[in-house]
Amino acid sequence: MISFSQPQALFGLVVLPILLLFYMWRARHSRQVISSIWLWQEAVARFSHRPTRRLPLRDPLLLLQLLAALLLVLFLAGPRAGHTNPVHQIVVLDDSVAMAATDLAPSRFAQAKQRVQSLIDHLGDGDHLSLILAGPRARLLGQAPSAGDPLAALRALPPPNGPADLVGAAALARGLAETPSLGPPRVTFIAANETPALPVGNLSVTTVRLGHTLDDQSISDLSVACSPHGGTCEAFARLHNADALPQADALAAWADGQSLGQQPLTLPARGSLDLSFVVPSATGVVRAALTRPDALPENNAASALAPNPPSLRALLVSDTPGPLLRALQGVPGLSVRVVSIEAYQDTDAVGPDLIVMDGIAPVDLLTVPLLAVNPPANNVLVNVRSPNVFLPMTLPDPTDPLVSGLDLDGLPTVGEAIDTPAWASADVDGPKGPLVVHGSQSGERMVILPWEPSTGAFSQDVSFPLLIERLVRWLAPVPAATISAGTPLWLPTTVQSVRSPTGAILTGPLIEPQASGLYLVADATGSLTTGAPLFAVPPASPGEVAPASVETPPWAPLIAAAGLPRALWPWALLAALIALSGEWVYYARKT
Amino acid sequence: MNALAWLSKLRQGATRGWVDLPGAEHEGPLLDGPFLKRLEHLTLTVGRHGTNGFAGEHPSPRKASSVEFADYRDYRPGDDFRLIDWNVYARLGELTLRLTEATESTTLHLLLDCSGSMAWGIPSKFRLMQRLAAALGCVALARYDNVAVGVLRDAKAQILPRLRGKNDTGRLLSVIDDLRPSGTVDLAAAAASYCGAPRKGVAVLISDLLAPTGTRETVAALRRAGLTPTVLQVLAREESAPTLEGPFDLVDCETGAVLTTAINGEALRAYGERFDSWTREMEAACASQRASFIRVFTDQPIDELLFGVLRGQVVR
Repeated sequence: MISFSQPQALFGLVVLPILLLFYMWRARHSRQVISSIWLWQEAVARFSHRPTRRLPLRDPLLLLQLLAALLLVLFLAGPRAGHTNPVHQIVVLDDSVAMAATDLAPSRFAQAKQRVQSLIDHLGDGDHLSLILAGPRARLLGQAPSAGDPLAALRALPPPNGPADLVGAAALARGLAETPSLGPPRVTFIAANETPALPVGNLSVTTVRLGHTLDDQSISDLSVACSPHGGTCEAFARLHNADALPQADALAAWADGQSLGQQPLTLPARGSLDLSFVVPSATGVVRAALTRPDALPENNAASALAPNPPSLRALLVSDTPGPLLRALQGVPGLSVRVVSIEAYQDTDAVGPDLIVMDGIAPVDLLTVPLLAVNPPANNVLVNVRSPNVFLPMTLPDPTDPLVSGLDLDGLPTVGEAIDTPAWASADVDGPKGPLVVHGSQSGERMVILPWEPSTGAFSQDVSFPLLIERLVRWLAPVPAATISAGTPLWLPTTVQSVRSPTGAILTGPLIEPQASGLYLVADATGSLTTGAPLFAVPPASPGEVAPASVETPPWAPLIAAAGLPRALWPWALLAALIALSGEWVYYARKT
Repeated sequence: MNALAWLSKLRQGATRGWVDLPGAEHEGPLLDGPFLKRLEHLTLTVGRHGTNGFAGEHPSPRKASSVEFADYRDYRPGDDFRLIDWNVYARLGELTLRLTEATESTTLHLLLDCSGSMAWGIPSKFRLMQRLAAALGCVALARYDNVAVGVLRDAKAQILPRLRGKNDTGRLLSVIDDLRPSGTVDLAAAAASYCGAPRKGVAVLISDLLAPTGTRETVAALRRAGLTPTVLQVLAREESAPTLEGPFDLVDCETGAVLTTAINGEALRAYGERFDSWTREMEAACASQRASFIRVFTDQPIDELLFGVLRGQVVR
């Protein structure tokens, strides 16, 4: 069974009857000079000699030309053998910012949508189409006709604004290609001209490129650094020009809405330009924009947050705060309030960003992160098998981010032998039980230290405050001032939702910011107030690829080459060339 | 050359032989030196009544003083005593005359059809006619026979100066090589024009005879003039077995008349039948006038024709 990768090329078969008609027309009008016609006159007088329109199928030249035309059309149609319908069309749609360019009317992305729609419209009986969106984070947008409506999802997409997660998209495509029930896969990658190739290994891909050389100047990076001793801050900007010609432009900057002025500059062709400028020390948000309009205005402006220390509040419930309090007070940006166990009330748990309970455990699960130190028996967090046992330890996993690089030799101490809860994992384990466990229960992060810091020597080690800082940072993370589009982000525990630059509300705790710009706090209960800038997503440049969000699955290269359609077009081309050569040989011999 | 013209050329080339190429009748030399040398071994086939009375190499019905024995007859009063065979008289006692044979020359009349239709074919019929005429003429000149060339065109004959002897070989070749085909011809009228005066000798008519009538009248005119006619019909192979197929506008190369027809298997069969009947008509016409009829084709080599087909009938 033969299928075609470009079946629309079969429309070229109309050239065959045209060729035939041309030969018939030539035959009808062929003028033949002979020596005398009187014998013919007497011969044809015996029967009707009206000119007929018989097909001149005995003409070798016509046969050769028909054969050559047929084979060339087959070559253009891309015949494949070895598979029958249905076909599984896997369409990977580039959703990077380069697709928002308007060098193709109305935009590249609009044309890409039309192509996807055309592919869906031309699905045959039993065919399937899977649409993968290669945006900042690759995802399966829908499948036709079985799962969802890809067209509706496609129409609802916002304009592209970010890098393309090609690795993730390729992994998804390979995974879908392994679904045998959907038929042989046929991968089509619809991408901007600047986007790199889809890394799908040995899976054949038909790539449809959109756009030409792009007139785009962008701010590919913007960051602010301040002196730790106060004073001025400095902003750093990297400007990129995708055009093949140098472009004169100007960079305008604002600090907290106040204009800092405008700097004329010339961007080199297909190159970048780095520059820095001074911003006031108290600046919270710096915004920069290129003033020249281009084909891709989405990446002409960027915002950045000044790296002010985060402001976190912790509540330490302990009767012997000692070393633990000192370690908490050493964490930058963390203010600690201490209450005794006796004075602690449940209402105290409302407001702080973190609660540290030493020798006490909550009656019910809290709605804030909790560092439980030496919890008593019969608590809701962990099963305490026996108190006051020596807790030896095994070597911790050096890749564990909570303990990696720390000298934990002084950690083994007397404490509680506990069972590692099902919701947690042990960072430092031992034969009698773990010494450090962490995990999330009911959406809240918790760390359990089943030993008393004030009684052991470990609290005297330099590793102790470092360990406490890491635990605090994990329990109450503060988002980085700048993150890449599509990167999953856990919101701070006191922040319930944020407002994206497009005005959309993203509700936590896990969000995936897509649009570039400044994200503001929309709903928070802690120290952060509504409207405060939380983080910024820099704009993407054309051709920028997002970091791999999906690991390449081990089964990815297992697509058997024998299972792929065998391309027949080289044979069609070879046969067409042979036919044309035969025609020339025939012509040469006749003349 | 635009695409249509190119395809038209292809289309013409697709049908073997049916190409009318201007000047195609002048391909190659007329005769080459080695072939001319070989022709000296041939002589014209001439009947006893085809001689012209001048001394030559062909047997004559007349008796004359020569070394060639012819016959014996009884002595009659008045006979030359010198012809009495005294050996016979000594043995038999009877007066018997010993007769010897006279040898005379002849005149080769080359009647050449120079109409436009002779230019057709690859190689052209006209070129083969020129070669045949030149070869026969050289054979005659080598035997001290006279050669007369009559160019038949329209309804009359152009008579070229008579040639004799091997010294006229070059002139003969030049005269024949300068001929060009053109126009039409009425063979019967042209032959009658050539035979306006009584002539003796051998007449070789070389033509394609592509006319519905006139062959019988032509041969009869030659016979009436006292000539011994031989008809050499020159045809291209495609004229006897055409390979055309499809609808055509057939154009007569002499008259320009057009016949629009569709040629298929049935038409080809009808053409073949008509061609055969036409052949029989010409053979009958020639036979009725005791003339030889020989058909040659343009794809036959000239040496094969002279030393094979024509040997025994025109030359020996």
